[in-house]
Order: sequence, then structure tokens, then C-alpha cells
Amino acid sequence: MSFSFPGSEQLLPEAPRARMLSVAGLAALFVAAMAFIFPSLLPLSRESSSARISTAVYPAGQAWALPHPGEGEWLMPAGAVTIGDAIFVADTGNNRILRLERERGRATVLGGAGLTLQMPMAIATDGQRLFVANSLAGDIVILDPSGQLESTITLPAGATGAPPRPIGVAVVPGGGLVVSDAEHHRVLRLDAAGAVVWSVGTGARGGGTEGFNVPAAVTVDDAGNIYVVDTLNARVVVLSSTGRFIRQIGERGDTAGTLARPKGVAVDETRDIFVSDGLLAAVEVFDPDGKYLGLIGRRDPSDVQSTSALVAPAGISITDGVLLVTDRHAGLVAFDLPPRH
Amino acid sequence: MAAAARIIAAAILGVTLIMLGTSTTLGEDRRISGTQHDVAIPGTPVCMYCHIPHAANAETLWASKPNMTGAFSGLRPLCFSCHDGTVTSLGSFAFDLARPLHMRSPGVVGADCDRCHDAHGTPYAKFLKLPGAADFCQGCHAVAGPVNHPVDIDARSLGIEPQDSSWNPYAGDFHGTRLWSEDGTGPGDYMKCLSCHATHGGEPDTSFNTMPSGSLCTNCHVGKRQVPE
Ligand code: HEC
Ligand code: HEC
Ligand code: HEC
Ligand code: HEC
Ligand code: HEC
Ligand code: HEC
Repeated sequence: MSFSFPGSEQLLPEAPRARMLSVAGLAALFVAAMAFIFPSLLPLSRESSSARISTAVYPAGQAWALPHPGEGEWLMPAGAVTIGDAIFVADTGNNRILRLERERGRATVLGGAGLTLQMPMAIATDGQRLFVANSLAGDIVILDPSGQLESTITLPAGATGAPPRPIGVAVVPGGGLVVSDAEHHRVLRLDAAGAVVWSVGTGARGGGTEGFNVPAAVTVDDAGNIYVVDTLNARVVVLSSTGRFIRQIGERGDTAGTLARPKGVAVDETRDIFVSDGLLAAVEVFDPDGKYLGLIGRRDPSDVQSTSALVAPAGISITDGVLLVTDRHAGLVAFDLPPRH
Repeated sequence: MAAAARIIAAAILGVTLIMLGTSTTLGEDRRISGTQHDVAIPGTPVCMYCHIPHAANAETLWASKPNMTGAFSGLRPLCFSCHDGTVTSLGSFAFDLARPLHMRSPGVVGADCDRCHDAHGTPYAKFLKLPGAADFCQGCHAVAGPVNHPVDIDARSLGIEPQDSSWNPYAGDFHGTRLWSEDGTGPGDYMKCLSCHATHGGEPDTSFNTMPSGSLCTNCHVGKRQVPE
């Protein structure tokens, strides 16, 4: 069911330095191999020489980084999803959505001036439409891939009357959305029409099985289980499709296998759980029972000072065996995941 | 030297926190409770959100700091880990690395963001260590640079009106000279240090001024009010 990352044995404290160096030495070869395997992604990588393309090999198989999209660079993007050959990026600092064409290696701004966003913090897709957590406007914006506005879901006010602040959104297979509201520390399940089906959370900072302390990214697996990054409680909470607490994953800490400031979450087809951590500058992987499997992004997972391909990783998504990490400062970084069994 | 100082500081921090156990005493001293940085669930420790307990040996350590070089280093990653639009959207613009920031030495205690802010709470607004609000620069800078422009004057009563007086980085507006209330805590008619400077979020390639050099002075000094030579 679970798998082990190539090189995850380097997590052992006595990991031999020499081997890590030799791994680093294979960087060029590895990148060449990646280029061979994923040629369609190359135009983007070649686009700009100032691009931050990382060529180092990291324990879990660092693949390649997509550079800034040239003119009108993105500013602190928080999330990205893939539909076919296009990547849609929540360009948070610029209050817009970018569409990256892999083939042409260019970015276009979605929707033009008609679409006004206020700090879009997360983006999700059902394969046809885009769902944007428009955090400071307190709503979810639904777009078609050309950027045409389909509809807007206004989220209900919370107990304090303050406007909601959605910072996570995920599509539920079979219809509807799950949305996290950081302002009222709650997670909302919406039906396809945008009406609230259920809400979990105490309305204030909380924990345990009832509450959250800043719920952030959310995702849903194929069985309908919901995964919520509970940022300040340093854990991922797994809820059933009806909102019942099933379990929590991760504990607070600053070593490999613990969570310092979890930001993004994704689940693959084996239901392994990927969690990006903004302070550890890495993505950690847990099996469905919460057992720590390995760490992606850092050169030496056991050394908190070691270099990372990531700087401030946020939203993550998995499409066709590729883990796409949106980093608030390093841009998009994609990792080819090892084959599963 | 600096490294040794840092190690000593870290050791002091660790020992202090261990000695204090749940840190209630120092917690009160440090005044996190009741400040905007009290993000804890009621009744639980308030320090662990910035001082992360080490899983292995129960030491209290700083948050990890990979990528310790470049503009996004020192205290910035820690502050950003909350001020990134998740825990709060407040001040998120301060992390735009293309914008100038008041000089700081990343990772050097007292010369990083903590040159001006004390995250543990201060008697002043915005976690600032010094009084003076929009004039608080004067607490450290006796001379306001070569410009040394007069401040604490009521510009509007003297007939001076900035052409662009809005400056709202949250809306992507990084232009304009702001006039302040007399005490410098909000909008008003007075000239203050922060009329021309924005400690984070100024114009690139300036002394974090709120307008490029070419247009800063003429935003107020036009026509008869031209800057005297
Ligand atoms: C919002 C983040 C934050 C929280 C919460 C926080 N600290 Fe700190 N702490 C910092 C930062 C940043 C520094 C280093 C810079 C400085 O000294 O201000 C620091 C440094 C310290 C130091 C080093 C000594 C010194 O003055 O340089 C001590 C001791 C300390 N903190 C104790 C505490 C205690 C006790 C609590 C809980 C009551 C706490 N901190 C909560 C951010 C925080
Ligand atoms: C030179 C002093 C100085 C330094 C250094 C400094 N700040 Fe500030 N900071 C200020 C002042 C002054 C304000 C209030 C600005 C205002 O009201 O326009 C402020 C405001 C803020 C705010 C609140 C913004 C808001 O809209 O209320 C945040 C967040 C912040 N600073 C973070 C940081 C971080 C992070 C760093 C380090 C990277 C830093 N500051 C370094 C002086 C400083
Ligand atoms: C654990 C999360 C967290 C961390 C880490 C953190 N902050 Fe904050 N900060 C907050 C919250 C929450 C607020 C209140 C925001 C609001 O009201 O929306 C805040 C508010 C502020 C303000 C504005 C206070 C005011 O009076 O308006 C400043 C300035 C600030 N923080 C500076 C910093 C600096 C500098 C650092 C890094 C040393 C830092 N913060 C780290 C959570 C954090
Ligand atoms: C806590 C003390 C402190 C405060 C408050 C402070 N500064 Fe500074 N400032 C310094 C120090 C120290 C330096 C020199 C930095 C260095 O050498 O590392 C400096 C450097 C500068 C520089 C760069 C000077 C140069 O040589 O290029 C400018 C500009 C500046 N400050 C403006 C301001 C303004 C405007 C404010 C108010 C918003 C302010 N400072 C508030 C301590 C402070
Ligand atoms: C009218 C606009 C304006 C006001 C008001 C203003 N400054 Fe400045 N300041 C500037 C400009 C412009 C520069 C850059 C000068 C240069 O680089 O030639 C500057 C530079 C500085 C410097 C850097 C000096 C150096 O040696 O490079 C300091 C320090 C400074 N200001 C402090 C202050 C303080 C303190 C106040 C409030 C008492 C203040 N400023 C008010 C426009 C202003
Ligand atoms: C926000 C508006 C504003 C801006 C921007 C501004 N000034 Fe002024 N300036 C004033 C006011 C108000 C006075 C006082 C006028 C009076 O006394 O009649 C003044 C006065 C002056 C004086 C006369 C000083 C004295 O002692 O009488 C000089 C010189 C001057 N400014 C230069 C500059 C320069 C250089 C810049 C650009 C770096 C600048 N100003 C930008 C508002 C501004």
C-alpha cells in the first residue's frame, strides 16, 4: 500500500555524507533524464535564463522548476492546478489568476479587468471549471478555463459577524465543494448550488475533534474523505464525507516527520498524504494511517539548515504522478513522484 | 563573532524556556497573552507558535531556517509563516522581495525585523519598540538624512495638498505621500517621517520612499510651492 522514496533511508541520522554528495553529483544526469521524460515541460524551463531552475537532486527525486512567466511576473502565488496542458496559478500578490501554457511557455492573465479578485489564496478544479478562494472578498469565484466568470458563491457570515475569509477550497467528487474559513475557524461543505450542507468548527480558535486553529488548505480523496490543514494546530485533520472527525496526522515540531507550519495538502491514489510545510521548506509524506514516509524538497532531510528546492511552499496538487508545489517565493516547483505499488 | 553571539543567544533562549517550564512567568513578562500575537487556543501555551518545541530532545528551538541566505531569510520566514494570508493577511505586502525594506541584518538579534518590532508585545501600536507612531524613526535617526525635511507641520493649513495622498499596499497602490493625524496614528493633515517613507513596501531603488525620486517632491511642491533651491 505504501511506498518508500528512493533515498528516504537518508533520513537516518547517521546518513553517510559521501553518498549524499554523490547523489548531488548525479544532478545533471537526472535533469537530462527528466527533460527526456517530460519534454512538454521544457519550453517553460527554457523561457528565461534568469529562471530559478534547480538542478540539484533531492532525496525524494527533485525534478524541475518552472520559472517565473516572464513579463508581469507573479507575486507570491499560493496555489496551482493542472487542466490538460495548462496550469492555472493563483497569483495571490497580484490579485489574479494566470494560465501557463506548457507548450508555448507563456503566461496569460485570466479574465482581464472584468475579474476582480482580492487575495486569492487557493484554487481547485473539477477538470472543467476553476474554483478560487477569494479570501478578502469572502467568496468562491467559479471560472471556466478561459477565465469567463460562471458564478460566485458568497459564504455565510460567521458567529462574530465578521466576513468569512476562505483560504482553502476543494472539489467533492460527485458535486459540491469543501471550503475552509480562516476567520471563523470552520470548514464548510457546500452543495453544487453553493448552499451549506454542514459546517465543522467551534467558530473560534479550537482544536481536538471539534475545532481548528486556522484551517487552511483542504483536499478530498476518491472515497470522499476530507483532509484539512489545521495550520496553527500543526496537523492535518481527516474528516468523513459527513464531517465526522476520523483522525489527525502529524505533530508539532521542526524535525523531519513533524509539522511546523503546514500549508498545503494533497492525497494520491494510494491515499498517501502529502503536506507542504512553510517553515520546514519541504513537503512531507505520510501513509494513510499517519506514519511518516519521507520528505521531498530538502537536500538533507535531517538537517534543518540544509538547502531546499523550496523556500515557502504553499498549495500543492498531484496530477498524473507529478507533485506540483506552489512556492510563495520560488514559484512553481514540480516533482516527479516515484512509481507506486 | 556573530555566530558565537547567536549560539549564546540561542543557548540563553533555550535555557530560559526550559527553566520556565510552561513559561507562564516569562509569558506574563513577555505579554503575548492579550496581544494580537496570542493565537493560542484559550488555556494552552502561547509561545509554541514561534518557539517550536524540538520533538527529539524536548529542547525549545527556533523554527528551522533553511535557505538562510538572500532576502527571504532571518526572521522573515517565521513572520511570513503567519503573515502570508493564512493566519493573517496583515502586512503580507512586507514580504514582496522586490520592494525595499529598512536596512536589516537577517538573523542578527536586534537588527532584523526586531530592530523595530518586538513580537512579544510593546506599549506601542504595531508591535513597535519605540513611541512616535508615524514619526517613530526619530527615535533612532537624529538627522533625517540629506533631505532633512521638516515634519510635524500641518501641511493642509499651509495650503499644501499632495496630488496623490493615498497609499494602500493592500490594493497594490504603492504611490502617494500620506498625511497623518497630529499624533501620527491615523490619517490627517500632518507631515511625518512616514509621509515619504514606508518601512516596507516603498519604491524600488529608493530609501524605501513612497514615490520614485522624480515625483516625490513635486507631489506636494508644485507651482508656487516649488521646492526652493
Ligand atoms: C509571534 C511570534 C513569537 C511568539 C508567540 C513568542 N516569541 Fe519569543 N521571540 C520571537 C522572536 C521573533 C524572537 C527573536 C527576536 C526578538 O528577540 O524579538 C524571540 C525571542 C525570544 C527570546 C530571546 C530573548 C530575547 O529577548 O532576545 C525569549 C526568551 C523569548 N522569545 C521568549 C518567549 C516566550 C516566553 C514566549 C511565550 C510567552 C514567546 N517568546 C512567544 C517571537 C515570538
Ligand atoms: C525600520 C523599522 C522597521 C523594520 C526594520 C520593520 N518594520 Fe514592520 N513596521 C514598521 C512600521 C513603522 C510599521 C507601521 C507602518 C504603517 O503604519 O504604515 C510596521 C508595520 C508592520 C506590519 C503591519 C502592517 C500593517 O498594515 O499594519 C507588519 C506585519 C510588519 N511591520 C512586519 C515586519 C517584518 C516581517 C519585518 C522584517 C522583515 C519588519 N516589519 C521590519 C517598522 C519596521
Ligand atoms: C503565529 C502567527 C504569527 C507569527 C509567527 C507572526 N505574527 Fe504578527 N500577527 C499575527 C496575527 C494573528 C496578527 C493580528 C492580525 C489581524 O488582526 O488580522 C498579527 C499582527 C502583527 C502586527 C500588527 C499589529 C497591530 O497592532 O496592528 C505586526 C506589526 C506584526 N504582527 C509583526 C510581526 C512580526 C515582525 C513577526 C515576525 C517576528 C510576526 N508578526 C510573526 C500572527 C503572527
Ligand atoms: C531602532 C532604530 C531605528 C529606527 C526606529 C529606524 N531606523 Fe533607520 N536605521 C537604523 C540603523 C541602525 C541603520 C543603519 C543600518 C546598518 O548599518 O545596519 C538605519 C538605516 C537607515 C537608512 C539607510 C541609511 C543609508 O545609509 O542608506 C534609512 C533610509 C533609514 N534608516 C530610514 C529610517 C526611517 C525612515 C525610519 C522610520 C520609518 C527609520 N529609519 C527607523 C536604525 C533605525
Ligand atoms: C519629504 C519627504 C521626506 C520626509 C518627510 C522624510 N524623509 Fe527621510 N528621506 C527622504 C528622501 C527622498 C531620502 C533619500 C535621500 C537620498 O537618497 O538622497 C531620505 C533619506 C533618509 C535617510 C537616509 C539618510 C542617508 O544618509 O542616506 C534617513 C535616515 C531618513 N531619511 C530619515 C528620515 C526621518 C527620521 C524622517 C522624519 C523625521 C524623514 N526621513 C522624513 C525623504 C523624506
Ligand atoms: C506631503 C507633502 C510634501 C512633500 C512630498 C514634500 N514636501 Fe517639502 N514641504 C511640505 C510642507 C507642508 C512644507 C512647509 C511649507 C511651509 O512652511 O510653508 C515644506 C517645506 C519644504 C521646504 C522648506 C523648508 C523650510 O525649512 O522652510 C523645502 C526645502 C522642502 N519642503 C523640500 C522638499 C523636498 C526636497 C521634497 C522631496 C524630497 C519635499 N519637500 C517633499 C510638504 C511636502
